[in-house]
This record gives sequence, C-alpha cells and structure tokens, in this order.
Amino acid sequence: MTNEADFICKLIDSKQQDKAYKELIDLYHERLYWHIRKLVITHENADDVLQNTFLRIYKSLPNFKQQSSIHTWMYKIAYNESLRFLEQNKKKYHTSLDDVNEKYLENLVDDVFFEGNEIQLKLQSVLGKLEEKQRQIFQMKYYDNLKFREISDILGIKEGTLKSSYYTVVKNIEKNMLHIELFEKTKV
Amino acid sequence: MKTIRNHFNSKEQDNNQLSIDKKMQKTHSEDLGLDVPLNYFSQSKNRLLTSVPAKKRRKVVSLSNNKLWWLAAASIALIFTVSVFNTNSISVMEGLPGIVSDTIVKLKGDGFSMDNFVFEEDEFLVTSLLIADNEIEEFVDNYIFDEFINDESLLK
Repeated sequence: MTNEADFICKLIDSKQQDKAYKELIDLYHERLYWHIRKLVITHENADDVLQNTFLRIYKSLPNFKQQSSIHTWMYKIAYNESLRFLEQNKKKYHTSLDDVNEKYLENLVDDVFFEGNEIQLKLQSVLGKLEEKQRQIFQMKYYDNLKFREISDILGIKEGTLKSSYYTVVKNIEKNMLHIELFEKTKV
Repeated sequence: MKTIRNHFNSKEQDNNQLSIDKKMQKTHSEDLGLDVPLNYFSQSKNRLLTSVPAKKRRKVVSLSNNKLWWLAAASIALIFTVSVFNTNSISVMEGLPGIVSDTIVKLKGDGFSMDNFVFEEDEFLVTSLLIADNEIEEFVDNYIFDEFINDESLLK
C-alpha cells in the first residue's frame, strides 16, 4: 500500500521520479484545471496556468516540507499561479483586481468554451457580483469539494471565519437567484 | 498515515478516480456552463508529461557556480601574472644601482644572454651544496675570481 510519505519520496528520488510524477499528473491535472479555470475564467488562460502550475510543482517538490497534505499543497500552488496570472494581466491592461472581478461575466461570455444556458448565466452573474474572496471560498467548497481546513491552508483564512463566510455567501446566492427569478417573472 | 491514493494499483479505485473526474467535468459543465475542447484532458496530460523532462534537459549549469572552474581560472591568472612580472623585472633598468645596470648593458652588448647568466648562477648554487663547510669560503673566492674578475679582465 502506498502512503503519502512514500509517494513523496518517490517524487524526489531521481530514479522513480518520472513514474511518480506521471501518477501525480494522472490524479490531479483535471481537478487542478477546474480549480484554475474558475479563477482565470477562460479555457485558454486556464491551460497556460495549468502548465505553469505543474512546472512549479515539479520544481518545488524537493522543498516540500509536508506541513500540509500534498493535495492541499498542489491546490495552493495552483491558486498562487492563478493569482500571479491575474496580477500580470493587471499590469498588462493597467486594470486592478477589482476590474478583473467586474469583467468576470464579460470574459466568461467571450470565452468560446463557455456554453452556458440562461440559468447558468444567471448563476455566473450572481457569482460575478460577489467579492473576489467570497467567490473563491464558495467555488472551492462547492465545486472543488475541498474541506474547510484545506481552504483555510490555501487562502490563509481561519477556519471559523471561512465557515461563516461560506454560509453567508450561500444565502446571498440563493437570495440573488430568487430575486432574479422573481424579476424575470414580473417582466413576463 | 493518510494516503495520497491508496488505490494506485487497484483497477476498481482507478475507475473511482475516473468517475470523480467525470463528475467534476459534468458539474462544471451543467452548473456553470464551462466546457473544454474535445479530448483536451488526454492531450494536456501528454503535454504536461513531455514539458517537464524537456525543461529538465535544458537546465544550464552556470560556469560561475563551479568552484573547479574558478580555481582553474585563478591558476591561469596567477601563472600569467608571474610570467609578465618576471619579464618586466629584467627589462626594467630604472631603480637598479648604476653598477648593476651598467654590467647588464655591457653583457647584453657583448652577446651574453640573461639565460646563460642565470644558468651559471644556478650551477654555482647547486655546486655549493656539494662543497664541505670548511671549503666553501675557498669555493666562493674562486667563483668570484673566475666569473667576475677574470671575465672583466678578458673584456678589457
């Protein structure tokens, strides 16, 4: 039976590294793609960030101190790479992170790999109106199935704060979705 | 200890992993309308696998970080400096006592090379090592007479 410590040893050992790294990619590349995609929005950007993320993981493996699980550590790298990408875009287009947030829906609709129907677009518009951090907490918990402890490690926010923030966001989304539906009905 | 993937070798659990990925793709597609190009994940996996060994091969080891390289460079520089210094010290006449520089000029003019001079001097030093202590004074006197006084008289 392979445990995490053994697996990390294999990843660092030059003789077993390639095989272990392949297993790591097999296991995580889809999950990390979706995690990144929700942060950088378009498929093209997510693909670039995913490549950078795995390169960063590969380079950083010898320095991995096992203070968290490799699962959380990889998500943290993916998260930081996504933020770095957004920061670079900010410099490129002279916009702030708030602008990136404001352009959330605009970028999403422009992406050729967004095929959202009316309901999906509604949910996305509600998510786009959330604060950056709130949206990240919601997506990590709801779509990436990460535990509060793991999200706490990735974002550096206390677990208690995260929990209360998540439930507030869920209520906020429900309220907004309901509001949109009612608004749609009154138009008809 | 917590496992990363207790099921690395289990077919059943590989299928489980596959179902997690499929479920994830379905959720993202159905809830959020996010899609990916056809066969994207199989292609991206191959790209990820090939990109890392390529980077590994391209890794450049800087010469400046190599201690051996620095030692070799320092040795070459030292040899070069010493050889330049020696050549200059022979050709520079300024700063030498008048009688010494006059002698060197005279020797050069008469076809004596400095190499011969140094060789003879070395020969004297080597020979002196083989002379007994009580005979050394006589040996030195003879040498001075032969090399300087006798040569000087011959030049005249």
